[in-house]
Parts: sequence; C-alpha cells; structure tokens
Amino acid sequence: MFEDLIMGLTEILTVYNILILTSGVALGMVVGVMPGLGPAAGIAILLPLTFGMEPTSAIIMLAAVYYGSMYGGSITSILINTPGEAATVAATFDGYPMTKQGRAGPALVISAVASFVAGSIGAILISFFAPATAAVARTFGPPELFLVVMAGLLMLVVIIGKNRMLGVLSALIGFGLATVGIDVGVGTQRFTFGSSELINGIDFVPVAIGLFGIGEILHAIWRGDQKKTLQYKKISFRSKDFWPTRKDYKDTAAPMARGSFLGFAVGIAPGAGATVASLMSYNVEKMASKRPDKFGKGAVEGVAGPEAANNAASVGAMVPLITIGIPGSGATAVLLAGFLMWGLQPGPLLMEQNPEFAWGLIASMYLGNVMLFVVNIFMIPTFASIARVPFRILAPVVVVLCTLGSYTVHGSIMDVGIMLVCGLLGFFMRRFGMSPAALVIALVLGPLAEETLRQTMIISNGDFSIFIERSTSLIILVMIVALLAIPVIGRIARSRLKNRDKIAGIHRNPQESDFENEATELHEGAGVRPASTADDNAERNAELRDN
Amino acid sequence: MPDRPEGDRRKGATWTRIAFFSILLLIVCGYTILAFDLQWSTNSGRMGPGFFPRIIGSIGIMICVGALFTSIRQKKASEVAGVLPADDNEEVASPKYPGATALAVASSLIFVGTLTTLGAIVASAVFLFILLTYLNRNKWVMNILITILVPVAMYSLFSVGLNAELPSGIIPW
Repeated sequence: MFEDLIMGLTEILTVYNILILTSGVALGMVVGVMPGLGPAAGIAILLPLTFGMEPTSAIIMLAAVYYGSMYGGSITSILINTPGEAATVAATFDGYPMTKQGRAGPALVISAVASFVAGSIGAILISFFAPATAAVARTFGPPELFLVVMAGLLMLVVIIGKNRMLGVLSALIGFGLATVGIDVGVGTQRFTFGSSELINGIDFVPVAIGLFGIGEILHAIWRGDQKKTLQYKKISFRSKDFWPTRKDYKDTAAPMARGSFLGFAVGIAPGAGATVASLMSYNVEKMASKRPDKFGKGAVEGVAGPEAANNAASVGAMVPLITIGIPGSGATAVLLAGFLMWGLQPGPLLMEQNPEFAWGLIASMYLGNVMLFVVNIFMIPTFASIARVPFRILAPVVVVLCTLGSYTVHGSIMDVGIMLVCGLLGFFMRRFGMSPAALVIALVLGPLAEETLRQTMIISNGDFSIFIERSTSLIILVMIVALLAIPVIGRIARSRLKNRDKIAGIHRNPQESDFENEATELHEGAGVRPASTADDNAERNAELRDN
Repeated sequence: MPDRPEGDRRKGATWTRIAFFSILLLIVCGYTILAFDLQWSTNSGRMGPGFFPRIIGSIGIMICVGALFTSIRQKKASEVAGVLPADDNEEVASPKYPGATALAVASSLIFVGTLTTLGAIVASAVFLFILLTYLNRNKWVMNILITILVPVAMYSLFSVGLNAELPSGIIPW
C-alpha cells in the first residue's frame, strides 16, 4: 500500500498538478462560501473547465473542489448563520453563537483545524479501505453488481427521501432518461425520435449542470435571494482574538477524533452523506459532553465534531465511488460523470488497471488537505468577503457559465436545450420535495443496472432465483430487505411513542420536524439552504439542533 | 416587491403542484406507450429493449397518479379546513418571486435561442443586460461593466484558455 501511495504522490507532484490542486481547493472554497451553490452544483458547473486537462489532473481538481466546498461552507455558517452548503448546517448551531459572543475567529480556526484533522484521517483511512473494498468488490459478478446498484439507490431514497415515493419517482425519471439511445442488447433505438444527436443517449453533464446549477439558481430567485443583503462581522487574522485558546484546542481534540471516524463510516454508506454525518456528530458530542447545556450557546465542541464529520464523510464517500463505481450523493455522481468522461470506469478493476490514477487521487487528498488548511487559515477574511458578492449579480453570471459550459461538451445546441429543460425540472423538483440527486444517480447508474441485469439473466437462463442461490448476492439481498424495513420499523416505533405519550399526557408539537426529514431537505445538491439573513435562519436552525 | 399576497400564494402553491404532476403524468404515459412498442423479450428469450422501459413507465405512472391524487386531496382539505400540505408550508410562509423567476426563464430561453445566431459573446451580453436590469436595478454602471466584461472573459476562458469551441455568431472571430 505504501509503495502505491508513493507512486500516487510521484504522479501528482508536478508543478502543473500542484497548481491545479491549489486552484481546485480555492474554487471549492468559493463554491462553499456562496450560499445557494452546493458541491454538486459547483462540480457540475466547473466540469467543462477541465476539458483540456489530463484525466488525472482533471479529477484531482474536481475532487479538490468537492472537499474544498466542505471547508468553505462553514465560513458563512459561523459568520452569518447561513450555511454555504447543506453539510455545514451543524456549524451554525454553536458557530454563530460564538460569533455573537465575539469569538468568530476561534470558531473559524477550530473549524479549519477540525476539517484538516478529519481530511487527513479520512485520507489515511481511504488508503486502507479502498484496496480492501476493491478486493471484495472484485469477487462480485453481475448479480451482485446489480443488487449493489439497487441497494445504493434504495439507500439514497430511504435515508434522504423527504417524500420517499417522490424520491423513487425522481430515480425512475433518471432511469427513464438513461434508456434513451441505442439498446446495447439488440441495437434497437429507444426514444430517439429520429434524432441523430440522441442515438448515443442523453449526456450526463448538461443534465447535471441543469439540475444542480440552473435549477438551484431559479429556485433561489423564486425564494427572493436577490432581495437579501448579508450582514458580515469583519474579521482579521492579525487580531489577537482571532486565534483559539489552549483550552479550546484541548476541549476539541476528542470531538475532532470522534467526528472524523464517525464521518468516514457514515460517508462510506451510499446515500447517508456529509449532512447526516455532521448532524449525527453534533448529537454524539452533545451526549458525550459533561455540559450538554452549553450546546447551542457557543460550545466549541459543537463546531469541531460536525466540521470533522462532514469532511471525513466527503472522503469516505470516495470509497464506494472509486472501488464499486457507486456514487452515494449528487456531488459524487457528478464526479463519476467526470471519471466516465475521461474513459475511466470506476469499479473493482480501477485500482488494478489504473493504479497511477487511483492512487494519484488518494495522494492528492493528503496534499489537498494541507493546502486547504493553509489557504483556509490565512484567507478566511478574503473568502468571507467573496461571499458578500450579491446573489443578484452572481445568478446571471452563473447562468452564462452553465450555458457556455454545456455548449462546449459536444459543441451542440441540443445539450444546451437539455440543460435548460433539466434546469426547469430541477426547479420544480426542489419546490415539490423531489430529489435531483436521486435522478442524477439513477441516470449514471441506469445503464450499469440494465447491463448487469441482462448479464445476470443470461447466466441464469432467465431464472431470478440466481439472486438467492449465490451467497454474496443473498447477503446483499438481506441488506436491501433490512434497508426497506427501516422506515416501516421507524413508523411503528414513532406511533408506539405517540401512543405512550398520549397515555402519559405529553403533548408533542405536530409541526415539530423530525431529524430525518430535515437532513433530507438539507442533503447536498438536493436542497441547499437559502441565502437568507441570520435571523431568518436562527429559528429553523435552533429547531433542527434541538431535535 | 413580493409578487402576491399570502392568500394567493396558498392557492397558487396547490395549483402549481397539481399542474406539475399532471404534466409529469402525461410525459410518463407517453414514455410508457412508446415502451410498450418495444419488445419485452427477444426471440431467443433474452431481455428485450422494452424490458426496463416498461417497468420504469408502469411504476412511474402509479407514483405520478398517487402524487396527483394526494395533491388534489390536499387542495380540497386546504379549502375546507385551511390546512396546507406540509411541502407547501415553506411555499406560503414567506414571499416568493414568480415574476423574477419567469423573467429568468424567459431570458434564458432567448439566450439559448440566439446562442448560435448571435454568438456566445453577444447572446451572453444581451442575457446579462436583461436579467441584471431587473435584478440589480438602478446600478447602471456596474450592470454595463458586467455585461461587457463577463462575456469577453468567459469567451476567452473557454475559447482561448481551454481551446473549446463556442459559436462566434455575428462577431467574425
């Protein structure tokens, strides 16, 4: 493993790659601090900018944008109580109260240190887990791969689905779009309507740019983000109040470690993602604390744990992506599209057939984290001022970038049209509780699901019992059944709790939002918090924290 | 200016939802009809090109009908008791800007429609000017600067920096 890692480091240690990595982390920070732009939107919009690059450099840059946005998102969470992106919502719970107490500097530095520690632990863990997972995945045949694809999608729908049926509908739309083009089995054209441009199917990039970029911008305009002004407290790293005290570091060491391991474990599970990881970490820290009453009033541990968790989760999410080829979130689905665009098929064989690329990507995480830490600490005031660019100016510029970017994919106006239609679809999906992330993942995984099911049926002569005859596929099937049982068990548990409360005479607020639904709404790419003022968010964030 | 009072937003939210799921249902029905024209299995008994699309379409219709039915039922309930569906609470809780959204969509359509004829620079400039004039009102100098500088910068980035092809349109380079 160490030899592979050194080979990866050698691969990326060129002046060009280091420049690319630096640009990636800086762009990621910018994406993160812009309320309204999540990592999925950021990667989708920036994807066309990597067309002229070598595959390794391009993926390194996009991955850097991904984990850079996790760092950047917390700056606005802490300073103005507005998460730059969904996974950093937990940073508002104690980060913003710290700002109100005049401790914005220590909150931002602790957040950066926690992100660095978690990113580094995540990079070490992925170095061990990725080869091990790939080794297991290499034993998978078509039936197992088909079931893994289904499990990944089900998990996404079950865990993050605000409305599970609408989550399934979103995934079906994605699967439906994936069937456009030539059927690989018999060569029949499907849903092409005689268009030569549709014979090769619907390209993923314009769909992702439309759903995440244009869809989010339209939704933000509809919410009225162009009317809002953001009030920032000025900070400077030259001020002596900027740096945390020794006690702050001591208090946050354990939460950082716990958040890192928890976040990585949650990140590996498809669908769970960084948002769920950070909220779970917040609850863990609150339970583990000797003074849980401090939480929500500016406890530095409440910043460190979730910040570590969301960064570790973003690294953990790379494990299923690289080793099985299954993205667990909208952002990793767009990254997968990047892989495919350069002819790299993520999966069990990637580490074997393209070791320079796979290990180069892992090595870039070590280096990227160091860069992010340095950039983050010394440029916090700069990034905070970038976030002051009003949305009313940002929105038209992003639409131009999305449109020209989509055109450059194939030099086709059809792609631009698809992007615009998907932008409108993304807008309505957000309005009515559907999941753009599920659509995008289904679009990417649709051809793989169809191909593996076809191969399975050929192997078994059309007999579906193959799924229970093979031990590995049986295990995966049992996991899927367990996954489907989770919501049913949850519903039964909630109704029993309600009955018990009724008998005991305890009144619960019917409008009280449950943790799961809130996590859903906030999930990356699917619903980033609006760029509203601090006070607008305070009530909602307090409600989420208390649940 | 918020475009509508809360009462109108309340009505609009449920109507828009019903319209959205109706259109989606129509599209999914069309997809399913076409899917049933494709073979379920090949002559040799293998999975045909219609296998996946038929399953996708059939389940899609069921869920769309369910979503539409729920929306209509919620609309009736809201008319009777004034109770809103959970998803619409956010929609009516604060002012929304459908006018600005419609303008953004309309100007985007013009942008896409004129991209190849006017070219990337001119079409981008026209789009930016329209949308900025509405969103960033009374900031003429800033709007004109953005209208000129952003398209040129984007064109340079894609065409020169990344060597990607963009339509030149009425500008001969």
